[in-house]
Amino acid sequence: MTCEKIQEILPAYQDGELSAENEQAVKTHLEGCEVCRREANLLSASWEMLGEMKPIAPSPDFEARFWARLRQEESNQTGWRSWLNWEPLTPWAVSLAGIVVIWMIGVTGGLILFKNQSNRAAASFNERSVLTSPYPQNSIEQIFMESQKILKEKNT
Amino acid sequence: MLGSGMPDLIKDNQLLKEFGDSDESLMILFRQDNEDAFRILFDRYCARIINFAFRFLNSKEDAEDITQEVFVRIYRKKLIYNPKSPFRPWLYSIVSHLVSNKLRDKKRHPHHSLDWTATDEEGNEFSVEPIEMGTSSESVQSERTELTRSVQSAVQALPQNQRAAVLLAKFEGLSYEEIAAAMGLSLSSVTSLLFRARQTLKEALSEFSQKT
Repeated sequence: MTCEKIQEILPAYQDGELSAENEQAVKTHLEGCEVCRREANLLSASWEMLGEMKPIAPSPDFEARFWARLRQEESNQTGWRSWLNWEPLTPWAVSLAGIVVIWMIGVTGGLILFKNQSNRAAASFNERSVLTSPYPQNSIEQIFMESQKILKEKNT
Repeated sequence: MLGSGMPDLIKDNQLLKEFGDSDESLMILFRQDNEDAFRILFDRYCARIINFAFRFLNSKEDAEDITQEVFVRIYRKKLIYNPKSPFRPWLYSIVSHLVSNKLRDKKRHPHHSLDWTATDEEGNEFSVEPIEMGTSSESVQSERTELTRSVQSAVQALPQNQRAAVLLAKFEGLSYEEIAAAMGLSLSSVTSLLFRARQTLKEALSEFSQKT
């Protein structure tokens, strides 16, 4: 491996995140390369320095405040508030609800589409009948003539 | 309150006998409405989360507020937790989400304490941003305090996602894979974030690294 590649994986090497094979490759390289060794030392020194960020302690009343807040919020969850704050309990419940909603949207959409197409077909049939038939609309003669015409069209 | 010892209720639980008091088994117990398990998790993580949030928000009050919110969410959403997946990435994904929201709020309302403060060893806050390394020579400060300030400044200067990856790796001991899960990123993105962050930190702290 080149020095550039080694330096690219040095942080992962120092964090113990490399495969055994790559780890060995870096180790061997570092033993023989002064430049990369120096880079590794600078990296690990700056990483260790982060330990200078001393932790802060929670406020003395933090725990008490938390439990008070939790109890308060829990008591607010009763009655109609709990309904308003209802959250789905489990991921599978959410998935199931989603599937039902999508199915309902699909069925409703399909029905609307089917109804529109039927209306359009009926309108077109009526229009054609009115324009071409010598008989009054919806009379037995007119319907008979139209059905004969349709049968003829189909046979040809 | 639990404090140090493990309550008998939990000690006797078969699950803990099998898997020990891992975070995951405590969450499984908590899902079964065992509130003691939740209390142990709270004791185990509250100070850690306060510190994690503090290193982003620079306000102890905000950090404590976020921490409370985190545990309230865990309490309420215990059933959403998948017991088969590790607890810490899930926990820190909640923390990161809330911290990001808070930072966004702070940007929208900058009058709400956007001062960059840090703490000394006693936890007392002091401002770090206005102090340049070269201009502090007038005041007599120990080298240690100077180093602490420089480290704080260097970490504060990192972009938000790099800072999160650094804090999770360094202070929370999360593996790259766990960090990826907590931050919703790929493993290669985390590797890249940490590489860039560590290069930046190395440059920023080179003055001190040379001395070691």
